[in-house]
Amino acid sequence: MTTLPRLPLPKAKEPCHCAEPERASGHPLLAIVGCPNVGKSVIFNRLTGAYVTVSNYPGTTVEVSRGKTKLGGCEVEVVDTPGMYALLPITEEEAVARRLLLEEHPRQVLHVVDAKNLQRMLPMTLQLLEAGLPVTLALNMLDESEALGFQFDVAELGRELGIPVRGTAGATGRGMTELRDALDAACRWDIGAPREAGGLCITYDARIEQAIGTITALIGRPAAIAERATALLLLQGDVEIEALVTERVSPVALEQVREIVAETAAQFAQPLNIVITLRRQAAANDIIARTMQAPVEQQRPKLEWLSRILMHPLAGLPVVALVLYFGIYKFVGMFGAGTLVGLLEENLFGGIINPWLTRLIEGWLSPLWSNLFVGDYGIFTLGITYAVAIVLPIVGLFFLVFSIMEDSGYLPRLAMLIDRIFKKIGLNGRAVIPLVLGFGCDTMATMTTRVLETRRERIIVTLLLALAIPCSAQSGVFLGMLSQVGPTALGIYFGVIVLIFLTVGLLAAKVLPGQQAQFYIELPPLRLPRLNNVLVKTYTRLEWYFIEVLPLFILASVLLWLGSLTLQGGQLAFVPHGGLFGLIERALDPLAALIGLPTTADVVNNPALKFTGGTILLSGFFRRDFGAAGLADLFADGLLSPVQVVVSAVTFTLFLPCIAQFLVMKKERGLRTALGMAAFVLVISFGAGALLRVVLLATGWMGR
Amino acid sequence: MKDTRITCAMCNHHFTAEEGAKSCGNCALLGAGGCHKVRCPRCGYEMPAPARLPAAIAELVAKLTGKAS
Repeated sequence: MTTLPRLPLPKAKEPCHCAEPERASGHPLLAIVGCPNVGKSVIFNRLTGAYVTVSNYPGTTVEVSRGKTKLGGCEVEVVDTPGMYALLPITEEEAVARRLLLEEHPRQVLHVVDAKNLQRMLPMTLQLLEAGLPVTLALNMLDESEALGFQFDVAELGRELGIPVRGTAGATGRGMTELRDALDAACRWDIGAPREAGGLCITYDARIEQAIGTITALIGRPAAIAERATALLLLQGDVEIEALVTERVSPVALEQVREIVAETAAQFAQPLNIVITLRRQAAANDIIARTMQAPVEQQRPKLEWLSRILMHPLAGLPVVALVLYFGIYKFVGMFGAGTLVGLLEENLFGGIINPWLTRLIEGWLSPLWSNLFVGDYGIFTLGITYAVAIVLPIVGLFFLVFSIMEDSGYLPRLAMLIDRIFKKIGLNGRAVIPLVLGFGCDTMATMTTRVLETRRERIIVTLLLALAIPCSAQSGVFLGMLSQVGPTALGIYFGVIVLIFLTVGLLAAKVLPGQQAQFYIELPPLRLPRLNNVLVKTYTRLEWYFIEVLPLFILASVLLWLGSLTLQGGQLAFVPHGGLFGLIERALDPLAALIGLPTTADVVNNPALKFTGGTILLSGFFRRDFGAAGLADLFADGLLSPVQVVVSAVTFTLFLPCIAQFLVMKKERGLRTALGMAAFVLVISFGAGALLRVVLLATGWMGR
Repeated sequence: MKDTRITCAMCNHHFTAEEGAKSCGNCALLGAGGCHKVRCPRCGYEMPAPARLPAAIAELVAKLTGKAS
């Protein structure tokens, strides 16, 4: 006798397993989350096809894409969330992404990570698991990471995490079928099944665990994530979660929670946010050690001891001094500004090229037109000579030193060292990035202030960039000039600039209220710089710099020539310091006199003076490095005393940013703030310059 | 440029030149050519975009020495 299989009896009025009563649309939701630029949108497009709607998330300007697909036999809504680095949001995009997870009740969360940066992205997977969300992990960009030499045990990673993990390359479609199958299986949920995906659970320090236990007992489950995750976010100082808890628990319980957070924080030297983040990273590192093999280059033991010395607040400073002495003073200053500029400007251009061109062009053209090409402000004798013979060698060597610092891994360690100092002025090491970039170009760096987390930080850094950070060409030329005068001149220059930087930073931090944000970065390995890398980086920087600077220097020559044209006997004539240009020079004489630079009166006594202080001011505002090159030219001709060199270098470093930077300041911070900063910078620069001049002349440190 | 891989000198993040160009604010001041830099999508640090000439030279050398793939 055979037994027929029994058909399951249909349950009466059982709701469809596709129905999602907690969502207004009634459809289950698949939320795709992950850091920016990890390929979320590509995977979203592959899952949803062409039917996609893009709209702003309610109450924000953040765009969110939504589409539909079939998974687990149901029609599922898929949402492509904005990029987020962690559940603790910093930016508006991150806040929107988290709100989506908290408020839209996703049935499945697809965390997309960039496989080659798994170490940095896995902590968020762990955080999503802590939140009790049902997660599937897509190890994306697998092709790129494998090309770099990374190898993964995807199955083992899935076992370690306790969730489905699939390797994908969204751009080529690799692994997409397997990912869809995994999501399909994960989405065959039963309406009554619990949502929590088992997953891995991190154990924190006993004091934190105790705090988590007490907080969860007090508040229960006020948010749509696991109690443990809510407690951790409260310990990490999450303002939004605290507001949510405030609405849902009694004032007494809330007060107790605040006390627990404060008491727990007091037991650690570092902020709780960092303690928790570091523990999560350590857990991620353990998993990665068992499931991923990094390229040989990344496995090499790092020079840990040297790395610690470079970042140590005391031991690190002598290293900075050594870098400045050998890299800037000896190499850029003595060799670049001294030897190379001497060879190029005096011997090649001054001795051969320019005299030959002058003879040639003066033979062809009238004085009016020949002055356009080979006169005091001639295109060849001024614009091209400055760009090629003065600025190019100095800036080239400066870029070389910078590239060595980058390629060796010293630059981020310098950022960590400075982070400690920056904290005193209300900034964190993240502010190092725009400030370091400012040494390249302040205009670009002002735009980079967008990476800073708070408005307060953005304003302080914009002001410091405008005031105390000279761009690469300007700093190269000034440091070269000062090195020629001597180490004392260099020391006074650095002393004054650093003093003003710190004082203004401290005052700005006091005036502008707000909290300082935390900063931590993963350091690249320390290594001997690779010649090929250093040369290519230097060449690339120099190539674009030169392409940008040469036309502007030529334009400056033309403008100076035009401004010097004047009517003599009814005919146009070129008169140095005459015409419109002469008028401007005379108007700026008081400022030049204030810091002891030549005025139009001095030009009468010494016709060799190509520029007055006023011209240098004006040309510096047009283009910072052009003004610096003008000063270097006067210095090379022996027309500036050591006091004038130091005072003018300090004043022009602090002086108003160039016109391009001012325009970006206006764009980023608004006209009122930009004008206010410009006025402040003008007063500080000339005030500091005049005061320094009085001190130097009174003490006689630099001669008279 | 699309396939060039870049490692951020500040935070060690790996990204492609395309990602680096995408995360940049594209400065209007320097015209349509932009500043020819790439920006790390993670920390915002800017680096020069890979120059064409060194890459072309490396390719030529590889061809001449028979090491081209």
